[in-house]
Amino acid sequence: MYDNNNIEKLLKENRYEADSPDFFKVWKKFKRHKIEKTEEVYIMGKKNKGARVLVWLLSFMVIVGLAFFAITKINDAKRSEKIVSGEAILVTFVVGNVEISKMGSSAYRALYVDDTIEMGDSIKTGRSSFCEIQMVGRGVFRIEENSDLEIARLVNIDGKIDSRMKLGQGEIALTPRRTERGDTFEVETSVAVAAVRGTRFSVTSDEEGNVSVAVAEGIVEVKPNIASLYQAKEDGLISEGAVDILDKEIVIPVSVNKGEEVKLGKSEVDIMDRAIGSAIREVAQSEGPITEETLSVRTEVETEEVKPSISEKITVKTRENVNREVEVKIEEARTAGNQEEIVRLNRIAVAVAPEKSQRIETSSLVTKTELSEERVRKLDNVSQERLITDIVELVRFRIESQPAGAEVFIDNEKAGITPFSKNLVKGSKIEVKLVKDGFVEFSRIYEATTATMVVRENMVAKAVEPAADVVVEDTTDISETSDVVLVDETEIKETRIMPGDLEWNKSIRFTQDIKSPVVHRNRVYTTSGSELYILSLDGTIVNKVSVASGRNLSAPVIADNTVYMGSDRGGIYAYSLTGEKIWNNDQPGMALYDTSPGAGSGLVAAPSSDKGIKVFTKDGNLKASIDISEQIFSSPVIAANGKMLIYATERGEVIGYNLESGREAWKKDVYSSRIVSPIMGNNNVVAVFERGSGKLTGLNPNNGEIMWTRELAGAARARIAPVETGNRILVIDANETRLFVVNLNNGALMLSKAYPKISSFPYFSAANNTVYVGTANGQLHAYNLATQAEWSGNVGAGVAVVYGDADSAYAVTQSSMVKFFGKEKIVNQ
Amino acid sequence: MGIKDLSDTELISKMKGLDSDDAIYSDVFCQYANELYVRYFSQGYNIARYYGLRNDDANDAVQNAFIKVLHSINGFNLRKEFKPWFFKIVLNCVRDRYRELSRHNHIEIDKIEKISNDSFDKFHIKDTLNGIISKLPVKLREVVVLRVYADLSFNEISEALNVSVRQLHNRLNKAYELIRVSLEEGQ
Repeated sequence: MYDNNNIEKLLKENRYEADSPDFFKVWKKFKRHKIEKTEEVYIMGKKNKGARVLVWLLSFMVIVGLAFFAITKINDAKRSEKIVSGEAILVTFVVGNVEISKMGSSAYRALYVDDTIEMGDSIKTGRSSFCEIQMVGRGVFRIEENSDLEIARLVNIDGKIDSRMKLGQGEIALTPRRTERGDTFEVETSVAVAAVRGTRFSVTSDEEGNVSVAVAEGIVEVKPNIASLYQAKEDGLISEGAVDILDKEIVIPVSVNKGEEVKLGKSEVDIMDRAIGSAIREVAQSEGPITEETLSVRTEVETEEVKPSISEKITVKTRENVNREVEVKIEEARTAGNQEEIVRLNRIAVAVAPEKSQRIETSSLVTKTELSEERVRKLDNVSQERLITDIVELVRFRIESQPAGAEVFIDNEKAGITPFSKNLVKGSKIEVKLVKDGFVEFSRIYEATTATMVVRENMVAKAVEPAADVVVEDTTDISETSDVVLVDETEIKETRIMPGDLEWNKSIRFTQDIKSPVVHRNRVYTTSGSELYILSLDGTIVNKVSVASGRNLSAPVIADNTVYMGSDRGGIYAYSLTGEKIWNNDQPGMALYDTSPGAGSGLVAAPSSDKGIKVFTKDGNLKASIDISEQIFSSPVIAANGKMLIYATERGEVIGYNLESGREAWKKDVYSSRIVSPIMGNNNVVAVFERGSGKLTGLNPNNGEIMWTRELAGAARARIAPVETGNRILVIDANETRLFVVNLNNGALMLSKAYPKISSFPYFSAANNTVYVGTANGQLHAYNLATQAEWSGNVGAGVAVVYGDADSAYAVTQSSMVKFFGKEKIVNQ
Repeated sequence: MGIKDLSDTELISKMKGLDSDDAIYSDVFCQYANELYVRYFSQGYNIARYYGLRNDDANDAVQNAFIKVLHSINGFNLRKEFKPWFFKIVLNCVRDRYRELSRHNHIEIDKIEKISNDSFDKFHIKDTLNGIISKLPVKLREVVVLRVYADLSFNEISEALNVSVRQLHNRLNKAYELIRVSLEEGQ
């Protein structure tokens, strides 16, 4: 029984009657508000209240300022102290999704450049993300994608670096600085420990726990991580000091040399670990708890009595345990026919039965290979040169782009995507290149000068036309604030853009009314008063040329790469597309109507009231001078490839003038009233609009034969002159509430559509077969002649000029230029 | 030209144009403010009521909105439309009051009014409609009240709510659909 229309009607009919709107009450409240306000001021002091308030305010600000300064300074000092001592690691480079969890907290937050990491913190990197952290002056670490890392230790009591990082999964590459200070760097995974002095290497732990260690410089010692030792300590079987001794005595680490990579399987280590665990248990049960003392005593005794030491006992037991397990497993593998497994198990058996010593050799457990290309490349990321040695010289550099998501190249190497942050050494220069599909490549050299550099660059969309015409606008803004709000770069929002959604709105001011514009090669040409305006489609005035001071220019006409304009006092002005004057011919005499010249085929015809029409070549040479006794109100047109000049007189005659023979070729006297609107047309058809009757007539320019006529109801006495673009004649009726579209070639009426009060010249875009009009109530309307789809956008003020192409639509008002999306699309924001 | 004949924008520009420290507390200003009040109080009141406020709260919220408007009139950009700006403030005040009340459980948000055939006579239809509209999801409710009771165009609502016109169409249709279903269920 209801549909949406009568629902709205029903709702509208049922309004509440408000109680007699008692404005006085509101006014009293409003005034009371004022009194309350003034009273607040009086509390501060009755006399000189302004000054008193100011003094209070100032002293308050000074105190707050000082406190803030002190706090930040103290924090800064503390922070640098920590960084220099190695208690804190500085984040120098972040790309993508990198998160940190501070010690004791399970929550992760985004990690940014210039943050510090301390002992107990954990770092997590996401897919295609990585971060670089540095112990200033001591080492560079790079955490690759999909990794998680815990900083277990950093410095010991003596202030020496005793760093141990626990890699849960993923990859870390590091270069500790060569040092004689006794610093140690260790990377631990659940399976292995890699320890180092002065090398460059990486540790990788895959999802199953298998580890590989790659070394680019120096030597790294790798050995299995014997978790059962720590378990035994927990169980009270061995003392804490004994753990370290046994750890060294039982297993011989393998040395990984420059250019080598070793892989250590988790299952091997697990077997080893279990065997050692039960060996320790057995020995501890027979010999009592193992401590540092028992270990050292037995060792001394051993030299005299040739009695096996505790550690030897453990090794022997371990060997037995391993062999037992391996035998069973080899049997299993044999029945399953798994040769690889047999080889692997044999390797474990070999590792526990070395020929030379009684200890377990890691070298037999691992597989050594040469360093792969990929590893070499990754390790190059952590070279010594990258090491920052002095914290004070760091500059935080951040680059943002509009739109975001551009690829960033630093010194021609891909570094990430915007927004992008990096620490630079103060005084250094970098060349930054931003690349994004559909945008002009951006490149610029920055010098790291201030403590914090934040640059925002606008990327200019590539023009459809040759790029030579595009002016790259550079709006660099280097702000020197120390407090930079970092934008969350991880969140990507998808937005559906509909036709008519606003893209931007820029303010432009014209001194006088603007004339019917011409759009040519992504530039809008229009005149206002005595000035020629050239606007780019990004809403900026590219050029504003004062053409003829004291005169009012006609609407511009563009032909043969030249902008032609007439004026209300006659004359003809030819300017280049960029706004340089080519020539002008200041014909004396007044034109009553500001008639545009007619141009085309290398010629331009300028009407003038008392001198008839003068035809010039595009270089400004007079080609023909036609004496006409009547006034010319309508812009003439050059047709038939420059052969014919068609003009109309005040008496309603249309005349075809043969420019080649210099004679009048034909004359049509079919109109009852004078013709004032510009004659429109191409080489084959010219159309004349008779304002008095609202009739359009199409004529053959060669012989004046009438090809078609079209009467448009309501178009008589139209104020806005018809315009022709792309072989479509657009006529606005006298009430300015209806738009007609007529095909120039055959006179067919393609559209008759009602609009609110139209205030702009209409525009037809052949690219998407769409007509655009602007209305006085501040709307831009688009209508697609083919699909009949329509949309509108809110401009905000009366529209004077509209223009559209396949992707966008533009509206120009007296004070602004607005761009709308013309196509539905989905964008990432 | 009398005050009554001025357009909203002209009215505001006159109010802004008053040139003295206390101009906004002057009698002249009061006259203009009164005119605004007469023009828009009833619409604001209806918005408040259909949003779900009771008589007194609705009166209060709209009066507060007016006070806010009068205080910030100097900041109004004359190049913009008045109505979207005004009703945005009204809606904000109404929304605030509504939230405040629902926090204190003064509004029984979940209360479903029984819609019987009897309630369909002239006397009750407002209550019925109110019952339906004030229980619409907020997003839909706001579009309905601005469209119906503030009589705004889609573009103006779009400006006030910062939502695209296309979305407004969808929301309004959805809202009308819900209202229709509720009404028909009640029959």
